[in-house]
Amino acid sequence: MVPLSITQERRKRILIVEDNIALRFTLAEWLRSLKYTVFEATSADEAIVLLESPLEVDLVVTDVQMPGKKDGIELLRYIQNSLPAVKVIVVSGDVHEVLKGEKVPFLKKPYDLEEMASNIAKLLTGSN
Amino acid sequence: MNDPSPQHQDTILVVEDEILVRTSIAQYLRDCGYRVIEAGNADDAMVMLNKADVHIDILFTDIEMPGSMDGFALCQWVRRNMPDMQILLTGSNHKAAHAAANLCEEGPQLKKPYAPEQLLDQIRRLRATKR
Repeated sequence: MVPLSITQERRKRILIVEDNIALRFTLAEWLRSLKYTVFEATSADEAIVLLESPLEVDLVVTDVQMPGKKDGIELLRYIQNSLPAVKVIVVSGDVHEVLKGEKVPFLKKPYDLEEMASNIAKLLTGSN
Repeated sequence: MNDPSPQHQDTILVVEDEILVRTSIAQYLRDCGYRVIEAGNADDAMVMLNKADVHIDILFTDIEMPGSMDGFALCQWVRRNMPDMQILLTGSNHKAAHAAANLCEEGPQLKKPYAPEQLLDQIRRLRATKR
């Protein structure tokens, strides 16, 4: 594979925010096999650094409980306030009351990769 | 760039705590046809190294990192337990890089900041010694 040329269509860009390296790698590889460009962050703090860089992320998949100054809910609030065009999917082993009533898709761990892919495709359809 | 594609998809474990450095180098290597596993510290790297279903050809690690292990300790562990794995080191501390040369008989190391092309060149040279 050669570096992306400007003549190729821009692939959708997904940022996975997950501190568990095995889970992150499995999801990242799955999404790369579906032809997405995938970036990885090990914490919400790292995710914000990437979101403030020129990477132009289209969608963020974030865990809730992670080490660092911010958790996934705070990352979600940051994106809603500062980057409203960026779509978000929240994943967690626990159900979070704070997310009830929100339009943000939530997948409980362990989630099915096909279900994740279908949620991502739905959110990215029609967004440019 | 002349034929940047590896012969088959080699897997590189990139261990780097600086997120912007890790992301840009990992993406560059993927664009060049490598499969890349990203770890933010040596402890996470150990998780992937110990996974029986994941084959890693090259460990590319920063020397100075937070966590219970630094890049040296990680390389020492790999040398003892996975002698066939190839290792590339990077770091900004000259003294550390010198000591790293003594640790790894293959010796390649990149002083930070390095250009992605320099890393690609080192990887190709390293893989050529295996073929």
